[in-house]
Amino acid sequence: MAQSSSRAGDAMSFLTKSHTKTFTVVLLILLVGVFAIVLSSLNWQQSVYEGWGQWLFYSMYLYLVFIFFRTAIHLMLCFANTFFEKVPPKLQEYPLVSVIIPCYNEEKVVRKAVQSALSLTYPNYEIIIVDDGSIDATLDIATNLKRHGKVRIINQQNAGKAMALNRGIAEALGEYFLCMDADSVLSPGALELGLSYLHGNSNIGAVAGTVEIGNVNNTITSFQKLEYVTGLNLFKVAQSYLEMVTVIPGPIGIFRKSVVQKVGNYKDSTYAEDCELTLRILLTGYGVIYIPGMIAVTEAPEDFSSLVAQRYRWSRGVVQAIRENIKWIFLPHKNLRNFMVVFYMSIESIFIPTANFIFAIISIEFVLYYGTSEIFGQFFLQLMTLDLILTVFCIANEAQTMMLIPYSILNRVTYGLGLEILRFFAVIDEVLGLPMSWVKLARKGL
Amino acid sequence: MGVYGILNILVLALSLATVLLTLLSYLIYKIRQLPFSKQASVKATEGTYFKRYQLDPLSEPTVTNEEGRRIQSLKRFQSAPIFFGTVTLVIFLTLLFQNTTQAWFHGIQNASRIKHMKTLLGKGLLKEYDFNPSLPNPVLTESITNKENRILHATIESIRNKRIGLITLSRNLKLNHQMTLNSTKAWKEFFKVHKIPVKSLLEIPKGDSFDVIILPQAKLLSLQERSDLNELIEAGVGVIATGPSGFLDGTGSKNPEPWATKIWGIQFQKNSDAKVGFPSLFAAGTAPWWDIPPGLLVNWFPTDNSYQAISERENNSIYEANYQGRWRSSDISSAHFVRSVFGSTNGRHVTWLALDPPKIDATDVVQTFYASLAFSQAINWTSGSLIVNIALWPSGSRSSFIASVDSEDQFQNAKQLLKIFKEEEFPATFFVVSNLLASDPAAALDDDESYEVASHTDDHKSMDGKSLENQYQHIQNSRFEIEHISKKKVVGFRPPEEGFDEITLNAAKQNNLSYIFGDQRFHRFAPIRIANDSMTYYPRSTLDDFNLKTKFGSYVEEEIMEALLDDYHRVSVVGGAYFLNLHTQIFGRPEYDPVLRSFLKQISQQAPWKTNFETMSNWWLMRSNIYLSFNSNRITVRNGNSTAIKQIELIIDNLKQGDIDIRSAENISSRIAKDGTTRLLLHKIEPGEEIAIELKSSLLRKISSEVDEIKNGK
Repeated sequence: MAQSSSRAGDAMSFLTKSHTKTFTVVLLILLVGVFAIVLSSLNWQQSVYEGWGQWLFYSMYLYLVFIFFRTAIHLMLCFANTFFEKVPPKLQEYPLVSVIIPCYNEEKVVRKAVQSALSLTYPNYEIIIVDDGSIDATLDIATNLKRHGKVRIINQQNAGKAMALNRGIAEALGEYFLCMDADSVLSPGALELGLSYLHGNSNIGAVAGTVEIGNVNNTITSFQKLEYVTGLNLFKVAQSYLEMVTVIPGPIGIFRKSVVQKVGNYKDSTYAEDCELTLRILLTGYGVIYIPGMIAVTEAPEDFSSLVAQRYRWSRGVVQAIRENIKWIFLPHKNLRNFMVVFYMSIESIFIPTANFIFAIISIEFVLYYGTSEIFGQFFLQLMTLDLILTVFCIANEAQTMMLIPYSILNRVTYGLGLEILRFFAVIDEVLGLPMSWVKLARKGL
Repeated sequence: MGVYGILNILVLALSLATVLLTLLSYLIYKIRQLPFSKQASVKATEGTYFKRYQLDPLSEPTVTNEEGRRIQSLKRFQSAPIFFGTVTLVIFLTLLFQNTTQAWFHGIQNASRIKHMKTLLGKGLLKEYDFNPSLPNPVLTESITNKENRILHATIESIRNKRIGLITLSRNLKLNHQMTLNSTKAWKEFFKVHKIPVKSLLEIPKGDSFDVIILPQAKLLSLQERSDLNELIEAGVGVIATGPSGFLDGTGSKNPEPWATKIWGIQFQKNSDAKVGFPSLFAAGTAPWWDIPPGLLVNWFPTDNSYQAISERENNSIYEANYQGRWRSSDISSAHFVRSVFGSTNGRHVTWLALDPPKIDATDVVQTFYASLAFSQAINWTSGSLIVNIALWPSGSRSSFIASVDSEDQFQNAKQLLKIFKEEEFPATFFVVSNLLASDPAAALDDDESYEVASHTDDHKSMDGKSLENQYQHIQNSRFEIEHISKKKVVGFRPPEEGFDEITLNAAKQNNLSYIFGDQRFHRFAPIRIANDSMTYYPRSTLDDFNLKTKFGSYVEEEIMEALLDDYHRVSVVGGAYFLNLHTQIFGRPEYDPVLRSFLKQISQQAPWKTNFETMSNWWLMRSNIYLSFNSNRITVRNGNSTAIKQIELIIDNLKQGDIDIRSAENISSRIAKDGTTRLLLHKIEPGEEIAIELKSSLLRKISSEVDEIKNGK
């Protein structure tokens, strides 16, 4: 935990003016990367392919160009977010903030979560533990923690996480509330930092924090760390410049209570209630920003089957959230911002996984069928180059470990490819309307 | 393989392992969501909000202390990458040594295939012949074989010993000057060319001082002359008359019963279209032209074309025909116009011909040969010489029948046609487009040797105009494909759309094919040896189903049946081979089943020799290697082939010794045919075997059986 806090501190100094040397290095790496892509593109043996093979070649070529520009735009937004960042003044007042911790059978972890909440540096907050009808010792442990004074216990019949959160929101006395998971641990300064951005700006509906993995102890969690650092968190920085962060993660997010109540609280109509709520906040016109220094450390899946289940649920939940708001795709003339939000999420969550999967499979098929490595090697080489650029960028600017580099090299053909496959099937399953029985079964408890 | 190649394979192995394991995990995940896994799902769902990805709570670590959790994590750390690494390594090594791996897999999977290939190669299939691009194209003309030339020479030699008289009656010279002069001149030229002694006569001789007399274009015959001719015939002299013999009497008036009508039963009809010359169509299997192929169509015209002869008799050896080989009939009686009639009176032969020896360009070897053979055999037979011939078809069949199918669509109709042929007991040849074999392999996969599979190219594109190498490749491709699937040797070829040229012959020959079933450029109801006697050519001289479809449009069973039977009749009457060529996309359709079955049933009743092209090619070649020699005492038959030949029938005419007693001879049976000839059926002659048949003793016996020089390799 101490390590995490230290890194959080480093991250907060993301590309300050004192890091101009680093910035130059990163810029050079980017230029070399772009040059490598252009150069290797010249070696593509177009004449080899005919008919549909040639069409495939051009499609893949266009797609790689698109991916390059997409990455470049995100990086530019990251720079912009840093250079044009308005650091909020220190809080002059400390409004009451409610920390909501929904629990269901969390006896093994709830204590640590509450303890981290009790260690927050922010002076004026309450902790609401919503026990959603646990059948283990969660309620007893929570009751013991009540003695700290700041803790309130709410016990209700099992109704699901969304309903538990809504109950917590309803009971919250503060103007703002922080939602965290019972298996997460907050950094001490998280609430104070987050609220400094939220309290002074009424256009902001919520702030998202950084999720770090606390159990980096095997290959799968190491890959997830890479994914969080170079994928999820970095992209959130870019999104944050436009105040359009698309997902406030479950382990840490601070919300303006009035906004959440205005948009209708959490809903259980999707498998990703956090993403769905974020989207509604954005579409109502409020901004959502990302604060890298607002950190929650959480536990990541340690085996592949758990990872498959988690990522499948996330991906499908995001697609469901898009589906529920798809109308904005067809109404750019009425609200361009909403159109951009939904369009952006569609590209990121539907188009790119689908294209990645299809081109990867076709590349592999080409190699197996024709025995050539041309398309296959080039496709993955281009993406690997981009991944490496991002990784080096993050290592340079977030003081991340160099161990991420070998994972980054392997990521595109191992972990990353596996996730793309899962995302693709999640999209297909949702389009086909295939049932996802465990969620349905969960609703039976109501 | 360089570092780059190995890295590529490594990347590929990692990708494949990821794809496989992800798909496997996803599948397991989905299966666990199925109804029968509800219990596990409920448990998983109820476990926790935050570990909902944890499908099975039971698999969660049961240890609660930190050390236990650390060990648990360490186990996971060890097992997952090891499993992934193992899968990757297996794929990597497989790809890295793919040549070896492939060879190993092929070795296992194709062991039987290799064995199969060896078997095929052992049977002489899939043989790749040396291609010679500079080999000159063979000539697409009929080849006159050495044996045929020997038969001609033997016949001429026979008639050189005959006493032949050529009569030019003065009355005809005077009143029918030009015809008589032309005719006499033609005969004299014929005898001169072949160095045959002949005595020119100006009146009809008395007694039997001649073996045969020739009376060309004697249109005027007085009563006395007719009487003298009758006496001559009664005296045992053979008579050959040409033209409207005795159509007029001695004064030039029309004879109520012309002499030719009295002798040969022919009627003369004024030719309303005398300026148009129609070709002559030869029948076969009748005296005296056993060696002339049926359906031979030659541009030989009557010297006197102002009359046409009509005969009610069906078998007359030469007919007036159109250029499609269809005989012409009288409008009055519907009987055919004939150009030869052969008869016998008092045991002596009398021959009537509408034709005199034609004037032929000496450079036209084929026409010269057939003209020489036809007229010399007419004289030889009429003079009463012993004649021994080998029948055209085996087993004493009067005609033959070959069914063939151009299998060139993808609708699996070949299967239906094959079924019909099998049920009706007809062998057949399937000309297969090899690229379609995969979708329609029915004919190729039939084990029955009666069903030959031949090439119809690989892509059914016309060969005409393509280069030699291109044509060679197309034929070779199809040959390999067919032989591989059918396990039968491909020996025949049918050019698509009947488009081919001499280059095609070259390509087929270099593929060691033995026959080609072509177009209508030759008219014949029999195989023809072409390309310097190296290949057999089958002309398509009969209707095919495309003709029928064009003719009738829609399907009318009665009309199609009538057309088919009429077409078959004109071939069978002249003792020819009928080539029924069908297409899978026409007669292969179910609506044609009844008419095809009905037609085949009717053919069967006429008992032709039913065969396929390959068998007939073999027969035709083997027949030409059966050598006959005979004199008044003995007939010798020798098999010059390298294999045994069966069911050879000998036709013996002008036999003076009476019936042959063959009761004591094994392997031979005999009969007297309707035309008075003696037929001997030799059931089997071994290669090199020589069978001698004694005539003088009236006892047929096999007196020797020895291997000749062919068998000894000399």
